[in-house]
Amino acid sequence: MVISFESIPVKIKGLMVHRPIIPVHLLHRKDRDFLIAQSLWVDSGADFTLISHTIAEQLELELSETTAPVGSIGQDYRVRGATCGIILARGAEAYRLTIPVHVADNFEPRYPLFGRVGVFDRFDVVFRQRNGRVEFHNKDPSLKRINLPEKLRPR
Amino acid sequence: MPKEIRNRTDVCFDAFQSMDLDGLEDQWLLLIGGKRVFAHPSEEVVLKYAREHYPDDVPCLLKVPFRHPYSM
Repeated sequence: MVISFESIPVKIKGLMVHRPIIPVHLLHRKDRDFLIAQSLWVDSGADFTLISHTIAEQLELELSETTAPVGSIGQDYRVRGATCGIILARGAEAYRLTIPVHVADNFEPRYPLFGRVGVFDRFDVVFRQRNGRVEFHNKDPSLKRINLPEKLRPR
Repeated sequence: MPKEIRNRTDVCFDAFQSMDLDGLEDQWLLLIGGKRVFAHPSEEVVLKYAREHYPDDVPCLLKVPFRHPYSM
């Protein structure tokens, strides 16, 4: 099963650049009726998914007591660890999974990231740069497709 | 499953892709029912707006990608 998203085209001085930005539902830690839908930048270079402190607070995620530096940026930028339930859906294809996330502690991420751990080990992620698409091929037999009810349709 | 998810992300995302995003770089957009209802650079402000004005909807926050300042 494959979930396929169109990349977001960004025109930079006449050059069209396609960025693998996709929509993801982020779930509240306890309240099953509460979730936030957000755009995340699929980043094969990021170990972990990175979200802002604002979003983590809204979702009431349980954050680690200690902070750690963001490896690629340096000691000044620190994150806390947490786990977060997400729904990755496109049309009738939808999966619910729980992934480890990093929560920005003392900075505002320029863009929230969708990193590898918990995601790339369940899906083969294919960046089709020529076609302006990014695809998620489910390779985890334990990851079952969920059915989204009709009421998910917009009004 | 949440009982009232009417603001489905991928539908909003499709709408987002066909929007004219010029002048909105780096801003968070709030989409409800596939329509843009609010935009602001602060995620917190957009979330607060969503809670006040659309308490029964799932807030769909889509950030307009930035352009590199050093681009050709």
